[in-house]
Parts: sequence; structure tokens; C-alpha cells
Amino acid sequence: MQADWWTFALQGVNFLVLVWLLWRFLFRPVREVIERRRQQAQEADARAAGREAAAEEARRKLEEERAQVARERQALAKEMDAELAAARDGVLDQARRQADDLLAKARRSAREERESALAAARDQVADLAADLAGRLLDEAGPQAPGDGLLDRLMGRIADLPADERERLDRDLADDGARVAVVTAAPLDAAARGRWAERLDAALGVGGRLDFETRPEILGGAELRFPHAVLGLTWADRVARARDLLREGGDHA
Amino acid sequence: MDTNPLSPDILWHLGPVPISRPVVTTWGIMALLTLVCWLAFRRPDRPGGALRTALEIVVETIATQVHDIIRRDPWPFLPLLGTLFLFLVAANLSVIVPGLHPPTGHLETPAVLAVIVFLSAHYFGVRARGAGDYLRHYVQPSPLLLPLNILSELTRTFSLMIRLFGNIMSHEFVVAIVAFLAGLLLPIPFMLLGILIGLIQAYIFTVLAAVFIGAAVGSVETA
Repeated sequence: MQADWWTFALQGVNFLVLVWLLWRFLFRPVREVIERRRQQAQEADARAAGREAAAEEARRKLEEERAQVARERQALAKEMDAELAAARDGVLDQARRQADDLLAKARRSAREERESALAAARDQVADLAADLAGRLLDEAGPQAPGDGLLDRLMGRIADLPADERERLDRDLADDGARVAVVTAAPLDAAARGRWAERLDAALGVGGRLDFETRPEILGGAELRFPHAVLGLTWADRVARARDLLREGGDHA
Repeated sequence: MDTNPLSPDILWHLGPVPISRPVVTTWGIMALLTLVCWLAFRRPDRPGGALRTALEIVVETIATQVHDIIRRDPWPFLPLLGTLFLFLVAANLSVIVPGLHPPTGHLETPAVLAVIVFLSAHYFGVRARGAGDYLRHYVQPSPLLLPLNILSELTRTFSLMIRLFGNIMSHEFVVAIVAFLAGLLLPIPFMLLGILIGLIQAYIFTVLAAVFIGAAVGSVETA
């Protein structure tokens, strides 16, 4: 076996040249490609990280907005509940007041109707009683007053207050002033004499006395002066009784 | 076989310089590799095709292997180790081309490659650790080990050379003997075996070179 040193040297040079050639045409381009890809991958990672950060920021903002909306919704719901409660309370108060008013009005109306019915019934009873008394007196026929009635009239004249008596005297003092004795049935001559005598003694009427007959007074008598009437008739008593019946019911 | 197969196969003389067959074959391999790489990466701005993708995969695989061995950034070592692997693959597989003889089947080529690895290991070691620190490891743990360390450096370089040369040369001999004795078709399985041997020897040579360089730069513990 022999070694050729020229071949040894040439092969060494050849290999070193090949190292340079492959570095120039293979390893350096591959390294550049790898570096470029790594850089692109890093840039893509950076972009992805940026987008992820942006997405995270957007998600955070969305969560905040959602929480804000939820808070506003709760506040609105609470406010609406308060308004509804206030409105409900207002409506209930108004309804309660209206119900109380209606109830009071109904009670008042019922009471008024009851009172009205009672008054009407009372009036009707009074009217019936007065009609019944009047009809009974009417069926009994006109009654001429007796001396007792004359005594009571004299008593009433004597019991007149001073101012009324003075006004009555002034009334009788006028010229032509006359006094009419009104009865339901005509008085006989004796009765008229007694009436004229007693009235003249009490009032000084002398011959200015007239006697009239009016059956509608049913009984009793009344004295009619020019500007006053003093009477004790049964019709007045029946009317008085009717008024007393009505007033008695009202007082009750 | 009236000529010595281990003797230099001089094709012609360029002045006083004899041009042997391994040199010419190496030129052809250099031209082929350079042409392939130029075709693959002549337009780096455009997307590459299948050839470019395959070359990227090969380079990245070599870089990964180198990184796994040296435990450092592989790119400073890749021009040497990558070129070593690709050249050895091409040279060893040239046996399947009729009329070609692998340059690694002649002693000069494995020898110069082993010497280059030997010198490169020291170069990278000094550059990585400094001359003093690098030379100090020859006298550690004891200065008495200096002769043994130097002998170890020489013998491992020698074994690197002999391993590659012996395998490729012997395979070439076996194929030639079988073809001489049994005819044309019988050597085909031996040629397929030669492909496997060529790839394995290229891998072993490159890995051992990476281990030596890694030990020199201080990344690999050697026995």
C-alpha cells in the first residue's frame, strides 16, 4: 500500500473547498430560511399574543359593560318596584278613600232614606190622625162654643204680653176697627150677649163686634181683629196636634 | 487483478501534480453537491420545491444530531460536520455507480478527513476554552497522563481513518472478487449491503467527529 501525498493534499483542499461551497449554497441558505421562519413564527406569536391581549381586553370590557348593564337593570328594577309600590299604595289609598266615601255616602243615604221614610210615615200618620180627628169632628157636626171656651179666651187675652196687648189696643183704637167672633156653628142670642158683654169688658169693643160662622174651624172660636187673630178653634188644634205629632217624631 | 488495488490510480498529470482517480471522483461529487444545492436555493425568496424541502430536512436533522451530541448551538460546527456527512454519504454511495470507485476506498481521503477532524477539534477547543485551559486538560488529572492523552489523540484519529478506509476498501474488494468469481448479478446484494455500509460509516465517522469536537469544546465527557 502506497500513499500519494499529492492526492492527500488535493483531497484536503477539495474537502475544504467543499465545506465552503456547501456553507455558501446549502447551510447558510437553510439557516436563513430557518431564521426567517423562526422570526415569522415569533412575529406570528407576537401578533397572536397581541390579538389575545386585545381579545382579553375586549372580553374584560364586555364583562364590565355586562356588569354595568346588570347593575343598571337592577337599579331600574328597584326603582320600578318602588314606583309600582308607590302607585299601588296610591291606588289602594284612593280606592280605600273612595270605598270609605262610598260607604259613608251609602250609610248617609241609608240614614237619610230611613229618616225620610220615617218622616214620611210620621207625616202620613199625623195626616191620617188629623184627617181622622177632623173627619170625626166633621161627622159630629159644627159645635157652638160654650162658656168655658169664652173663659179660656178671656184668660188668654188677660195673659197677653204687654206689648201685644198695647198693639191690640192700638189696633182697636182705629176708626172703623171691628172685631169678628168666628164660630163653627151660629151662636144663639144669649150666647152672643154673653160674648159681647165679656169682650167689651176685656177689650172695650162696644158695638163693633160681628159674629160669623165658618164650619171649617170645626169647633171652638176665634177673634179676628183688623190686624190680628186670637183663636181657640178645633181646626187649629187638629193642625197643632198634627204639627206636634210631626215635631215629636223629629225630636225622637 | 494484475495491479495492486491499493496503489495510487493516477489518471493524468497536471504539470508535476499527479491527478488520481479519487481526486477526480471527489471533484465530481463536489460539483454534484454544489449543483444540487444551487438548484434548490437559487431563489431563496420563493417557496421551495421538494428538493429544497428535502435538503432543509436533511440539514435540520444533522443540526439536531450535532446539538444532541455537543449540547451547544450546532451552527458553528455544521459546515464541517454537515459537509463531512454529506461528502461521505456521496463518496461511499458512489460505489453503486458503474465505473466509479469511492474516494474513501483509498487511504488518502480517509486520512485527510481524519486529519481535518483532528485539527478541527483542537481549533474548536482552543476557540471555545482558550489555549491555556484547552492544553491544561492534557495534564489533568495528572501530568503523568500527558503521553497517554497525546497517544489517545493520535490513535483515535488513526482508528477513525482506518475504520472508514477498511470498511469501504474491503467492501469494494469483496464486490470485485464476487463479481470476478460469480458473474454480474450475484454482486447486487453485496452492492445493497454496500449502501448500508456506506451510510453507517458516514454516520459513524460524523458522530465520532462530533464527539471529538464536543470533547474539545468541553461539552462531552470522553472515556
